[in-house]
Amino acid sequence: MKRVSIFRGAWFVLIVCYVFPGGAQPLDDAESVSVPAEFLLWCEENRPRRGSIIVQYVPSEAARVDGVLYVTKYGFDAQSGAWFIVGPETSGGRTPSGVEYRGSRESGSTILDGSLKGSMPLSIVAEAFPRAYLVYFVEQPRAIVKAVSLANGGWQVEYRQWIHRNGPHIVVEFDDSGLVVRRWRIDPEDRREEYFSYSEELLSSGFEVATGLRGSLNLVPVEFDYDAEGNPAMFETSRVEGFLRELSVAVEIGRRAAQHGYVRGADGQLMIDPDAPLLVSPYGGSQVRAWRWPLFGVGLVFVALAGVEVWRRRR
Amino acid sequence: MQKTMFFSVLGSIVACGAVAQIGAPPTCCSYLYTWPAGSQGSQGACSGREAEVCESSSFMSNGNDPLAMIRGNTVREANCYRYYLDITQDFLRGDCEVPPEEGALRIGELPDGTCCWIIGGGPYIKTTTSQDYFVMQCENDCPDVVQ
Repeated sequence: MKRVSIFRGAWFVLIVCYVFPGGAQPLDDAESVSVPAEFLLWCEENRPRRGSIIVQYVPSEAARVDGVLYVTKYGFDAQSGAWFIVGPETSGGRTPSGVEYRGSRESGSTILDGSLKGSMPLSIVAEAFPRAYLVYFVEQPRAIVKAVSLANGGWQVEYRQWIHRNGPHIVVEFDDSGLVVRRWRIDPEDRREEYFSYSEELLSSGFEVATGLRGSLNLVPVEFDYDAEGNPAMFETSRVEGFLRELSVAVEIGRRAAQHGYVRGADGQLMIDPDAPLLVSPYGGSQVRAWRWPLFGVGLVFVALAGVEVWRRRR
Repeated sequence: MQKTMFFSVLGSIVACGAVAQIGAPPTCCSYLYTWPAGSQGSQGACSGREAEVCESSSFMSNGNDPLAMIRGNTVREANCYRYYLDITQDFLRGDCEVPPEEGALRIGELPDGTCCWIIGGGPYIKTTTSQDYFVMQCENDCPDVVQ
């Protein structure tokens, strides 16, 4: 008990020194911070400290597109603050050493660029792992505009998504355990309010996983790779590039299979569409269909020439 | 007799050549963008947190429809992309050549000649579908694919 008090006291002093080095500290972009040190202490107490998680998301049944499974992977390592989001088209995140990066299927490579600094904050991955917010706020208290404690023991926090440029502020509401209940943008024309719900897996682990991401795509988690000790190697760009290639190929296979009459069964495996007609249409491909009239015309020319020849011989 | 055979063969070669000429790619090709209703924000195309953009090209661009030049109406295959943004990302209208910020992604051209961009740092999520697309006229030039 005493050790806990000493620990809390030490954090309190550190946080107060950081946030209020000489009273209220003006920011470089002229907005001042009004963050109760108590809030950062609360974040520190409720944040995950060690462990990593990678979760595979797929669109909910109703949101599937042409039977093609668009898988997106989200990853987060608590100790280093590394994270990534990778889908069949793009990737982005931060390595364990703090380098921000982006990649895309089209470019075929990952951009590791110092100029990205600040454009890929950890708060981005909080849509899947909401406790990442707690790590983020301790790491970047300058992003916080206002933090208000709630009667239920939770907090409501307004923060700037981008520290170095303008953009709508976002408000996040936490319950008393540090889980996000809802969030919204301070933008009357585009509020985008989201209520969070969580997967049954990993509840109370400190790595709770949100479900129902990205609006109507309604991404749901289907595979969980949790390592209580943490596995930062999984967050290096080479691994994330590998995921990008793997997911792109899976989508391409799915699209080609769909074009050739395959569908996905209840178990997710590809199978011949049982409802497809069994009739085989010879010469039914689009190439052949496109050329059939020109070929027919050429044939007619030959027939006409043969007719002319026969007529000439009879004369 | 020999003369007739000669002209028959010559006529066939000319006919085949004409057909091949019609099929030569790509004399009738263009990329168009449509923004189907139903997936846009309150400001219409290029707003909200989801957008569907269909990028269509004539079959002629693939050399699949040799008669596209002489037919007025033609079916084209369109690739449709649906973009899903998170709470931190936005669509933004702007100049087609100058990105509004570093790393912005241009997703297509709007009817007024401006372009729609995605801004915000995180990865966007995109799905792709192919659709048949019916157009009334055939454009004559084939600009680069806009991504």
